[in-house]
Amino acid sequence: MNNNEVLRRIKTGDKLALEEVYIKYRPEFIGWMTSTYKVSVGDAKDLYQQSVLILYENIVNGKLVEMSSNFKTYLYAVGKNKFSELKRQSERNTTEINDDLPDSGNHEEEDRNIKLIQLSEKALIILGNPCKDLLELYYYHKKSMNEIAELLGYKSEGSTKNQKYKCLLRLKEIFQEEMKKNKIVLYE
Amino acid sequence: MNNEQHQLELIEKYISQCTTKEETVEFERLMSDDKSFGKSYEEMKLLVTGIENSARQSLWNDLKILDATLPEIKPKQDKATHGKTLWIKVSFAIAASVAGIIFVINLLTPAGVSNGEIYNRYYQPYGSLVDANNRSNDKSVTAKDEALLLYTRGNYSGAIQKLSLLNKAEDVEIEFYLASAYMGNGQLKDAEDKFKQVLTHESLFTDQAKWYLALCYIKTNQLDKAKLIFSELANYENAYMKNAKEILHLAK
Repeated sequence: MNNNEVLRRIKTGDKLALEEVYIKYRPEFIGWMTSTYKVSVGDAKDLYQQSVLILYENIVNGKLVEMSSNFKTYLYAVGKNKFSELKRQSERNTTEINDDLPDSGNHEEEDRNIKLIQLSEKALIILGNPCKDLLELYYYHKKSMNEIAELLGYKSEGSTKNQKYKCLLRLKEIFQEEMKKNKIVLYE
Repeated sequence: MNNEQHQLELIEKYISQCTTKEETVEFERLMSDDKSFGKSYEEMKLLVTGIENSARQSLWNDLKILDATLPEIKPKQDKATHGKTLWIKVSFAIAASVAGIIFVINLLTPAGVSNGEIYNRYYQPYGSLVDANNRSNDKSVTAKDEALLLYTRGNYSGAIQKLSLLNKAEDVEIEFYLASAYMGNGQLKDAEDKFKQVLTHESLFTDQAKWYLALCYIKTNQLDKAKLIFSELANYENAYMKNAKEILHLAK
């Protein structure tokens, strides 16, 4: 099976196709990452998993529509970028720890945003299934209403769309309650 | 479709960057004229980020579970490194034998045991209950589980990174494992600070934290502080009582 056929299978949500890619390139990627960048096997595995995640997201988002090279080249390129990113982040954290300057307002804003996102994730857990599944299929896995209807057993595209809207309204309510509990106001 | 539903769809399209020209104009007009629309937009961005993060985490967990079923991978070594490693292994074997003989001699004359030797003999990383091989059917892997998995595998720097992010939740278990990860990673000052934090409240990890804090003190030659804790451990029933007594005898 050629690379573009595998790509097409991943795009349609074939989990086995993604697992096949994961298994096939794992030993080589980890071997390369540990010997080239001198990271531990554990760190190399983390980087590999992140690289495969990015591959998946780029496929379902339509950023990767055709495999002009091959999966190995793509994963290596993503892995290399991820490693550089982590290294920069780690150096930045060390600088911040050593920095004697008082905390600037940017950190407060960042912390607030992180807190808000954590609350939205919590709201989703509280919402539960089937709404959680529906919303994740739509917003992350980029499934169409028809595909979601088939996967979750809804009657039609129309009824799936209505269900999604109701789920979103309920999620908003829960999120607003969580913000109130945590005394956070979205707009000052 | 009611107005609210229409506005939500418009916001969704804007976030996904697939609005038409007319829809973009409408969006911008509503953003400048309607404060509640602006609030909905900010809310939607957060909700969509939360949904994406949650789904991404699930997929990541699935990959970790898959990985746990696959064969272990040993790091690659080139020939020069392999030769060097072999030489180092042989040297260590010889040194260990010599050290073993010296240690036995020192056991007969307790006053001769150094703090470093005591540390090396008695320090073993605290075990974690999280084991990937036993979780093949459990898909509900939390961020904490992932951090503890890294710790179990000896990836202390990775565990420190993840546990540090979770540490804000004031979970004494996280504090304890973070301290242990620092210790495993050779960051004894950080480990000391964290173990002291664990000891500010009574918990399931109190005895363990005392033990490992005392070992940190031994390693950093703070003998008085170490002896104080070992004396405490030696005087009540706990898992470290016997070892504490032995160390007090050796560290005279």
